[in-house]
Amino acid sequence: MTRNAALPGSPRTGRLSRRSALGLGGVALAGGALAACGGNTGGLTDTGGGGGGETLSQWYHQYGEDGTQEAVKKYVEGYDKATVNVNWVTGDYAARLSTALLSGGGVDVFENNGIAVDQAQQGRYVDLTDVMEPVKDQFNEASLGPVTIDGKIWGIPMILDPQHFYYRKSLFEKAGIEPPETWDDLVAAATELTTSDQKGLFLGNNFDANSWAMVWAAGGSPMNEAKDAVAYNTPGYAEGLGAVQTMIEDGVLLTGAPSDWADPAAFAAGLSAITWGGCWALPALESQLDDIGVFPHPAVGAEGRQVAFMGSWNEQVAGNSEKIDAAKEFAKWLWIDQTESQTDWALSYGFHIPPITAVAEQAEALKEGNGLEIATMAKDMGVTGPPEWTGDISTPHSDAVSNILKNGADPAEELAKAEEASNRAIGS
Amino acid sequence: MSASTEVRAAAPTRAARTGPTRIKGSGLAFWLFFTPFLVGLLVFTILPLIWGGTLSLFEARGTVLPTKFIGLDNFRGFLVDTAFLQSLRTFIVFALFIVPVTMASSLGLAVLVNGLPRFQMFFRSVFFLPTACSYVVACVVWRLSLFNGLESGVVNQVLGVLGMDSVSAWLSASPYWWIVLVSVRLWLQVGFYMLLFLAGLQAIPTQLYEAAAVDGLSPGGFRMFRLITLPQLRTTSAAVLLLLLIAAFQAFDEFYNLTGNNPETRPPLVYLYNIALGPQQDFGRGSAGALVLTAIMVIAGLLQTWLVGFGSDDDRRGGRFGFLRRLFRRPAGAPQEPAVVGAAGAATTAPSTADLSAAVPVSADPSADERTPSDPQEGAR
Repeated sequence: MTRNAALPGSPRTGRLSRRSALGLGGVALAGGALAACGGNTGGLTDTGGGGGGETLSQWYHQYGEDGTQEAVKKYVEGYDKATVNVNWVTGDYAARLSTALLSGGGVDVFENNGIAVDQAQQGRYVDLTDVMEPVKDQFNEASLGPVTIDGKIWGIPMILDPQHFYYRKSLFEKAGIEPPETWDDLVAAATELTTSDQKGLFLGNNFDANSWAMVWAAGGSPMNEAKDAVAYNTPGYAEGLGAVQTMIEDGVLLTGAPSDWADPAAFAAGLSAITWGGCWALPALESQLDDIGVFPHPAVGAEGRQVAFMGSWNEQVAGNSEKIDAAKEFAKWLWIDQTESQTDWALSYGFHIPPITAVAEQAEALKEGNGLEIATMAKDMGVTGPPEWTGDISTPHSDAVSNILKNGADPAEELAKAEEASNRAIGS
Repeated sequence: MSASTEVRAAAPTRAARTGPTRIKGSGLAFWLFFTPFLVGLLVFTILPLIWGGTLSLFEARGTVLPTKFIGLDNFRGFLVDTAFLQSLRTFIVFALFIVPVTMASSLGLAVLVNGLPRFQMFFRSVFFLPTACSYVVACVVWRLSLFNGLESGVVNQVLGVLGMDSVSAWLSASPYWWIVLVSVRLWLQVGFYMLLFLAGLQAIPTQLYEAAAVDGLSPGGFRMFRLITLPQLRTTSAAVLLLLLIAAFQAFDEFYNLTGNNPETRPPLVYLYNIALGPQQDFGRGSAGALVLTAIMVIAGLLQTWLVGFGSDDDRRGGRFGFLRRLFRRPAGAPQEPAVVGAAGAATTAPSTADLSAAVPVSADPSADERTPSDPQEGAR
């Protein structure tokens, strides 16, 4: 007989030994861990829902403005054809959304600010042309660019976020400077307004916040009409980036600010006289400073024009959803029919432009002051990036801008190299 | 057959079993414990590895179930991808900074802490504490507080006190961003490697130091450190070097959080992350890049192991470094210190260190530190 066989509780005796108990405990723990892995709630906050019938899962990224999370809960409570669970997704929204769309779990309706041609072709999104076609004339023309691929519409525009310059009116008046309409004027104004305590201009800590808008402002566009080659390499763009290099050398640009350009804190604290920013920052800025003005991106070079870059969020339906019809119906109900909710969403918390023109025209906040100027920019000068502008096409461009602005590389040479690499990516 | 014959017949069978004694019932427990981890390993490591390898041979944009086989095209792409090659250069520059600096700092700290007569545990904990901090949190502190570009930034304040100009481009210009990137990683990991060195230091037999002292080295002197401590820490140093290189290869968090997608400070992992999990979602290229990177890491690790001799015996290492040793080693029996060269250029042999230590009382000789003990490795054996 072995020593183990004599132990009470050994498997042979039918009673639970310490080893067996530990083993079972291990299995239970591992089972629990695996069960936890199977959950699909990481980073999501289920904020409940409303309605009846089928259950839909709706995704939002985490908006910074107070009250937004409560607002989206309130909207779905009015919907009675389905129960809608709102998921407020914290962290890296784009990565989480891509994973969910790929794996086909947990999302039926979602907002997206970067509709990509690859994902549309792979069926990650549902074609919403039948929903949008009857009403598309009601939408701001610029809002349809990012959702349209080869004539098909893949999303319902929710809000438009123009990006433009903010400036301190009092400083301009004191120096006798008018809001600049050309890039040269802006450089001159920024240089003039630079003091020992305050930089003239903030283009983001990496000096490149406006470089995307500058592509259009310099007379080019990211891609040509046929979408078979890039069209950003223009003499004006090289000239504009060269002028930024000069401002860096001259110490005109703010860098190293604790918060970057998308957050108005640095500008509100008086660290610069002019800043590139987004319309969402307007309420915060107007509550802190009483001399805020706005102007579009000035024209750059001989072929340039004034522009406002239009970011946007769009509602989409997941291609892998098992409730596509219910999801489409809900998306149409909320973002086409519920005009009150659209106005509330755009203007009650932050500041965004409703993409339905009639809704925007009725909004009081867009009828005067900076709100009116931003709305006018959005209507007359708005430009948007094409969905065909994919990551492998954009990387050479962003790398070139980085090399030009951070390493002092020659703008014309870098852009030519980037153009070649981007076109190679389009051809591959 | 008698009982004694049975015993004799059974004996050789039992003797043939040379493994550990098998305990009844342990088989079930083994599988109960092992199966969950085996399943985890298969599901979360082995399967993704095989899947990644398969994806690397396909065009897999936005899908993990690709259909278009493209052979080695994804791999070929990396050979001419200037951005990827640049990311490798970035890694090399980073490793050239971070590896020696961390090694020297952690070894220095370990020696200092080891030499403390009191509060050793306190300082050990203090230096180890940053290891518990997340990279993301440390990066936020570094960016917002220590290295922000305003006059009020902590480092800029220090520069001001020292009468130097403040720097606004900590994260937007070279070489400033390297200071930020290297210092944050140094702060986070130096404590961990200090502990490894400390363990190595405490494993050195004190007799070696005593013997060296008898041979004429001053306790705590640099030559004692160079001739006893360093050689005795060879295995620890090799392990630390390997770990540091791997950690540098895997650097992601601080680059991602501090300098974003800047091509100058974009190590391979950030670049591959952008390809596979950024807007491109090119899992095929991402997987191919990950395999290329793994191959580089394996080769670098093997090369380093082979050169430094992590886990190998001294003789084999001696063989690899024979040419170096021959360059620097003096003939057997010759003194290890520079010989006194006479006017005619002939070397006059000095007495061996053993002779010296016998002849001169250690405590009475102010130049005792200048002598060499007998080979510490010999003493260790």
